[in-house]
Amino acid sequence: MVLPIFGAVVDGVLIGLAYGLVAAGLGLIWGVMDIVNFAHGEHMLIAMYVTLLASANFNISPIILLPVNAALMFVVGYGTYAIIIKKTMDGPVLGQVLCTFGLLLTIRYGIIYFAGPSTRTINNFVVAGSTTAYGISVSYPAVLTAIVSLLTIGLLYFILQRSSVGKAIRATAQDKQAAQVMGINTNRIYATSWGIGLAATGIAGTMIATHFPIQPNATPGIWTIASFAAVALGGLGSIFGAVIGGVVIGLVQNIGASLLDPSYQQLYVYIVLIVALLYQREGILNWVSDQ
Amino acid sequence: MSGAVKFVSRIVDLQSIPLLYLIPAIFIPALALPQFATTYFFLNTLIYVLLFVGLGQSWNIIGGYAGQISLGHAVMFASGAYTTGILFIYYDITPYVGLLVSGLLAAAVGLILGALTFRLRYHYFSIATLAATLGAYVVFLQWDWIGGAVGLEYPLSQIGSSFSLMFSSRELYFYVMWVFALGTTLLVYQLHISKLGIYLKAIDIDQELAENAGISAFWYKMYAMGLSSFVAGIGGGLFAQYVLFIEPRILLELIRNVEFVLIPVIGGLGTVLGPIVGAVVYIFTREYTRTLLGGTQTGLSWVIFGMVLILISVYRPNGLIERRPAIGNIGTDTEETKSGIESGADDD
Repeated sequence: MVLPIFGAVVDGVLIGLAYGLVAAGLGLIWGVMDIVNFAHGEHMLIAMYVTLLASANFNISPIILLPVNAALMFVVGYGTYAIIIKKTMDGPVLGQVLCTFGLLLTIRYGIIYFAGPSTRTINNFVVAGSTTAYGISVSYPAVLTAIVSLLTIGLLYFILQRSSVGKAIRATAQDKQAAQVMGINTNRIYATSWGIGLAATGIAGTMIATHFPIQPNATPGIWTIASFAAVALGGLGSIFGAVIGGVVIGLVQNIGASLLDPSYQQLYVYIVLIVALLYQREGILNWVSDQ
Repeated sequence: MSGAVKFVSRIVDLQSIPLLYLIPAIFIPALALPQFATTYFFLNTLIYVLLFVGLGQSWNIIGGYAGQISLGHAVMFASGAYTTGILFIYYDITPYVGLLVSGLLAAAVGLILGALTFRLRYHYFSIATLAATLGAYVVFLQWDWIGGAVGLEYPLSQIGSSFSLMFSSRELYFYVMWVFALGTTLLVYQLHISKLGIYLKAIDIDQELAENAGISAFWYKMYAMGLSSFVAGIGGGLFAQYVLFIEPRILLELIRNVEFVLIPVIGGLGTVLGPIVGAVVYIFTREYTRTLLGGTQTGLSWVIFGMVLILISVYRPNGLIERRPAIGNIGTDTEETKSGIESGADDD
């Protein structure tokens, strides 16, 4: 006998890994320079729409688009910091909040203006269908998304821990002045962090576009809030914290929808977010970053 | 942009004219405006300008003076709209009473939200309040008693009856909104010249220092939140009385939160006249781009406002109007007047 909750757990973990990847990107930017990207979901929307349009008009497989979107979003992130965010760094927090909120409006409504407000789905994905094991139905695109997310998270961890850029990023996050004294160009590091953080959304966005309907008015908000909640749960500056936070959010959403009222699915995430923010000092999952 | 402002301020030094003269100089001539409003569209725009002066002032108290970047004011706005609407539609309670109840209920909602979130600072506070709005949106959409996603319609047969606060003539709405705008502006003026305003600004500039000086940051923020939410609730009620239709989407969508912030930010944060300038600039731009660009669904006007927000945050993060010192000779040469709010620049 299989309870519906097992299916919800599987779905929750699979989508949660993608949340974790997006949250890791947000947490990187947040942790390194203390700026919250309110337009994180909108940046992801760019990658989603590139995938949608390329696959609808030119029949390009999303798998080929993965590196393209990652590179595109890296450039978008690097440019966003270098052109806009940099100028608000020394100003009040309000300026930074307004700035990324302005990006949110510009990107979201720019996409709605050019591509229309209707819900879109992609149809010609290489991997399709689903399998049923032990009475639990699992869709292949969801599994592939989770695998790609895990691999990207591993790559992200490797970049931050082993590469010289990653070491410079961590040094800048710890102590900006000391990093500057050591000859690190902190502005370039900030821009690179934005690039890497948004490249993560590029990869997640490409994969998510393959099996989720995309609604330009609702989808970006869901992803932004989910990654806020994942970062708040997992603690700043820890990739694995963000991933575990992401999985928790995925589980909360899916188990909540299967046990309680599914129409309140998003509400559970908002509640987790507020609670996580309030108790963040004590650290719900902060043990992760200590290890 | 700043060049033009400097040029104008060189000719007429508005900052040197006392607010006590400037406020009547703006509001009393405005009373004659409906006489010049030949089109319905222009009058409608003027009514929205006055309503949003009040809403901008509401956010100005908490965001401009206390420096708390709330992205959740749509919750109080919607609570106010629903309270006035439901009291009238379901229970036949006149909106003259309903508006007051709206304000009080919205203040209660604001205080609960504040009690939960004022432990958080800076963008953590913004994120928590944003989550509160999004959560309220989900709840309001599912709540059948208040009409759910379909919303509630006012009984149009009652238009014009003396206790309904529904008028067949738009001009009367103009005067109602005028009272609201003037009342909120005077409230903020009173705050501006009182100790409370100075305490709030102190909390904004440096919360730790303010607490060391004996100002309880939490309770003064709660005070500001209560006032601000009260005004937002009445504004919501007036909005419902004007559009005669309440549904979650128009009351709680993300754009509503942005409007609350945008108006004081365009005009000047923590200034008495800032929201007036902001509301005139914002509403006229919104209404006229809406007609020029063909419907809100195209979203192009929001692309423009997004870019405006980015430009303001980069070049004039304190708004178009400079802050004026609270009392004549205090702070004219301090850092505060040069750099405006410095919240969160150097702390942890």
